[in-house]
Amino acid sequence: MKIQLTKFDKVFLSLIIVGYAIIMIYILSTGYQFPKLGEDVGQRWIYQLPFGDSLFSRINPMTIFMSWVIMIVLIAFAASIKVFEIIPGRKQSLIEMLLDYLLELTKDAVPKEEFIRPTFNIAATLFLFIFIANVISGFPGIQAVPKNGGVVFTIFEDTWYTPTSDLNTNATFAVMILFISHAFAIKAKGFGKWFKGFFEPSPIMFPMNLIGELAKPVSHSLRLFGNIMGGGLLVLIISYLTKYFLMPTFLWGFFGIFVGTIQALVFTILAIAYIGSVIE
Amino acid sequence: MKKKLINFKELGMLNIVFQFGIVVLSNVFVGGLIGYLLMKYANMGKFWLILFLMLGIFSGLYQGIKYLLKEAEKYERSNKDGDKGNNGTDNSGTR
Repeated sequence: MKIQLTKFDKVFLSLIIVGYAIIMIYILSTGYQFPKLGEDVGQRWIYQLPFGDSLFSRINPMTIFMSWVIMIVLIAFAASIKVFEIIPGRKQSLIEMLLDYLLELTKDAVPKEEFIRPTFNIAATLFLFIFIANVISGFPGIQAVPKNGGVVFTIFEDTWYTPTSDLNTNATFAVMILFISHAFAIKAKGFGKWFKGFFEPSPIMFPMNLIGELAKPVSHSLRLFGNIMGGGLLVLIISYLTKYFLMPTFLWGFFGIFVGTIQALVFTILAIAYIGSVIE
Repeated sequence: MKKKLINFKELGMLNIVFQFGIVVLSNVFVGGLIGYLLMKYANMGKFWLILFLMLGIFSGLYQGIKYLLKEAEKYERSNKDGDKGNNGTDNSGTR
């Protein structure tokens, strides 16, 4: 399959790459030293950008790095399916089965015909990304861990670092879904009718409807974050208890593959349901 | 026809219970957060924290029950469709 990019895509991608390049040059030119971290559970490697102390001036390098790795893996997989054939090969039937199931779900939840395709695109993208991100947390790989007062990279000692165990990733997805769903709703119903929807069934319910809408991304993101991060912490704690006498392979597999797959599916279903419920 | 090994629809049913709890809790959290931010940054007194916490609780229950009703409606609709299809393998009436 050939990857086609529009002019907008190219400009957008190059802006992002230039942004990363500037940050990388800044980090290298100022002589970066790894931060000192205690050996507590759940410590992260965080880089502080020079824009003050606000929440938006901190980056989590492992999250960004692994997100790009997953995106490149997905694009490489898509590009490796050369031509879509009538009699499908192994890769093609796998991807067709998966996407067909998601399309069925979207058709069930989204009432308006013209929004099925865009919703499906968003849902399938989210599912593939989160699925890969969760499943790699079930396999040993590269991980940045706090050790000896600094950050140490380990290979095959811990599982792959997964971007979904960082709340920033999940919150971004959830807030994105909130904005997309309301944009679709305004497009489908018109601004007046959409705005009136907040005052139903009576104007007294306005604060409750507003809180309900704001609570959607909170529950949406925290649920995925809690499952993946909680799984990781639990494995770590159980391993500490048994002093690695018991290999945590089974637990990695359970939390990474089983819980990870279910949560990826649940996140996608919820995204579809949120978009569908606002359009109705 | 061979029966599916994992029925995703049944997993979805289990999910409803979990989702109800999460909806209630997240609404309470958002209500509390709004109240706390008003109290801290707009100097509006503890009354507002309590008021928004209460609003969050009401909103949580309201949204949760709305969600449950919607799911029940969806379930009934799918059951009706199953009866119409008359394929005998549907689970209608067993639950």
